Amino acid sequence: MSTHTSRTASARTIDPPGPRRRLAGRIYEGTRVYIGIGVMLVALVGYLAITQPTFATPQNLIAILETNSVLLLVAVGLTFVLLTGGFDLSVGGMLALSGILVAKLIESGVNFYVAAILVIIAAAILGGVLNGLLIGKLGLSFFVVTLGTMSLFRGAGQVITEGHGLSLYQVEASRIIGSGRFLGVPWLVIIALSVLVLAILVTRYTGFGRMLYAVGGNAEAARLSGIKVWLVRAVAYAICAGLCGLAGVLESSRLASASPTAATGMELVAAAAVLLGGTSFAGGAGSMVGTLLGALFLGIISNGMTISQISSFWQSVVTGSVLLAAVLLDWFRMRRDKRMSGT
Amino acid sequence: MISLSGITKTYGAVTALCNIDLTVNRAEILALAGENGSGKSTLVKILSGVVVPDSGTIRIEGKPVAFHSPLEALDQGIALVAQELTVLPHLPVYENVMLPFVRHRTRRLVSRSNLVARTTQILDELGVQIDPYLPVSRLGPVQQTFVEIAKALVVEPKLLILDEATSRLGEKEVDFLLALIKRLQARGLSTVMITHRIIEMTSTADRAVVLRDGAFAGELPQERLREHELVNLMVGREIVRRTKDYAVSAAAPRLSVEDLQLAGTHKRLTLDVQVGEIVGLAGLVGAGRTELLEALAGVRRVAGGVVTVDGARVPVNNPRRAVLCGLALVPEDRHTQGLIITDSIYENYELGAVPWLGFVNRTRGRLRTRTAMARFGVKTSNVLAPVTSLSGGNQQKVVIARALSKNPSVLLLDEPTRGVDIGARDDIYQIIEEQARNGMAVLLASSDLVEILGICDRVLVMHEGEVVGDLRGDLISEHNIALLSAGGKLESHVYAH
Repeated sequence: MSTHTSRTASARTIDPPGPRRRLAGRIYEGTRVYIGIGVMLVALVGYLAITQPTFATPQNLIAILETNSVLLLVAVGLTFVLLTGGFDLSVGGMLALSGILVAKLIESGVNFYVAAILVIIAAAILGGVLNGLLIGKLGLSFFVVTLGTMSLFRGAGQVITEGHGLSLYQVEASRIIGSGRFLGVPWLVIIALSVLVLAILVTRYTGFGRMLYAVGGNAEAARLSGIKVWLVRAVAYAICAGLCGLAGVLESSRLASASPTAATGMELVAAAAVLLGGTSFAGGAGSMVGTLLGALFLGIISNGMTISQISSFWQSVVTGSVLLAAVLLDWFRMRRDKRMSGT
Repeated sequence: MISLSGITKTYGAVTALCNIDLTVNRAEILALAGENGSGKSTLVKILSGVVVPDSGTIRIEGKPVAFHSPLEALDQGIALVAQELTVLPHLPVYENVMLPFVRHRTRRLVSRSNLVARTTQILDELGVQIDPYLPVSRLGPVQQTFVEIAKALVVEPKLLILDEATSRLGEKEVDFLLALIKRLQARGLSTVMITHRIIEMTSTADRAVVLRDGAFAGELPQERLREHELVNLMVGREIVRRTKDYAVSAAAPRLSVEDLQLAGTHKRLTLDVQVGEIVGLAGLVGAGRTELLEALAGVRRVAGGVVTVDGARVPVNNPRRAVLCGLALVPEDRHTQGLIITDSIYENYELGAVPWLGFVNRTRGRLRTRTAMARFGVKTSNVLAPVTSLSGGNQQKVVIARALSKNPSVLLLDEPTRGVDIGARDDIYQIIEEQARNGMAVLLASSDLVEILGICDRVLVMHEGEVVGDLRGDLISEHNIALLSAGGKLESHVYAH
């Protein structure tokens, strides 16, 4: 036993790391996931700023943010779900349904803001119960469940409006939110960025936020350490649906009309933004800041192609290629990390 | 007929098998014996082509062969019934039984009626009655096992390997299966059987080969094939017990478990652990040790019973309350149950520490993590580094440190040093002993008898979901543990609850 004691004693006296190395290590650990998307974003912005004189103007940059604020909201919601290792195909359908419900409520005389809040709460409950409980509590496949609710929400919108759009043009408050500005910044951008900041705070600084990562990283380990895995999953789907509700309100305000076909294909674009931002499809890794970068990247590509007068048909070809490139890049990085850690 | 020579297999730094020679004669029933982790399963996996050995040769009728896949072994007439069921649950019985022929179907189409006819024939030969059209998922574990055996025999092998095939069977079915093996032996079939029930070996086998720690430990011909001799060969080493420098209090127990009944079983478990006592849970794989620890930690469903810590009743089926009542679990497999492998050391140490709406103070958390890592001797310069950057032993210390961070009064350890290097292992023993000295009750499940004998004050032996032995003092020996684990009885030991 005497030899053991001396050896462990030496093992216990570890050197405290120096402050400089600690800071550098922290910055590296904190930012390295953004390196891929960051480099691509800088290259894209640099290229457009040089070749397109109309790109780097304040008006254009604000326009990019304004056009993509709805996408950003949906992508933020989807990030909550992806962090737990799930996916939500029903975001587009929920968005359209929420827009229609707001328009209907206003039609029956409810104040715009009250209607908006009611719809957001209803969306969160609906998503939390249907998607969240079926997937979280019963353990059904997220693919099957959200495929079902995608169709369900989209169809419900069509049934309510009988396929037509509903105009919101006469609603003053909706016009202000949809196209008004505050100190030169569109309300849409202010709302989307506020939600983003809130989401960053929730994921980084609350116990719930850390549970999201734990559940996505290893649900069994999370369960064994006393985390209510099903509830974390259900709440993630509820938040996602609630944010889609908000996105639906904003989208119909921006377009001054609520259409049952709004945001068709949104689930895939939002997923592309989240995945581009470095969030893992397997769950447990990723961040809201990454999602912002991903959404910005897609928005800027689309804007750049428009001002470069490239056919919009090319847009989804480019998005797809970039997504594949990003996934490959991630694969290379993970392989290198694995080699370095020697496992 | 089949001979292996110089077989060696390593997994990373662990040597699973070292220079093994083995011969199986025609129409022989050979029992392969050894404790958990002695290398039996690896050896039969090599024999059946599932695992490729690092070195060594396999000869069939004197001709050297090399298996790169189970298919090649099957073509040479070696069929394996693996430890875990490998049936396709949604397919009917006949598809499962005829699965070995599936690759021939592209060449010559086989009609369904032929498949069913052959299946019925083989099942009749075995003497079991199973509807060939029934999907396998509708069958019970006994019938599924016989479907597996039919699948192995349908190719008319020269050698049948049964790896714990009797573990899912009741007494009657075991007798039936052993009689069947005897019957097939008369027709020239050789069998290699692995079983944890010693009586099955002594009653059926012609010869037993015993492995210990991946090496050949000895061989027993039929006339010497007795329980006592087998256990001695399986164990075969002297272990020095550590001595304690403090006394275990015998006042009121810290942990007391009364008539604990796991959901889906009829067995009731009763045990207690005193203040400062380290109690070992010994037994074979599947004896119910992990299930017991998980039930105590509230993460496995419990149908009834009373658990108390320091006299206060612990609500069952509630992991959160179990932790609050002072029960902390270090799970069996640190990769799949203990750690979030994609996360940092800090995130893993603080897993579940902050409630839903609690504020995560990273600076404080990192400081706590760093203090804990220093205390348990985990060498790391950066607690934000991925947990995978640590060695296996240090990863395990992170899991143990997390359990201890909840200030438990009872520590539940499940295989705390599996896959851990020797140095870190001693560190972990020191941590456990230090906790016990400070009054913690420790319940430690381990398949490593050296560990059980080395640090435990008392040993509970489990067999098929029940505590079958409570060994104290001089009765704690490898021989006694091995005997009780295999369902045997101690000669001069009265155990009553």
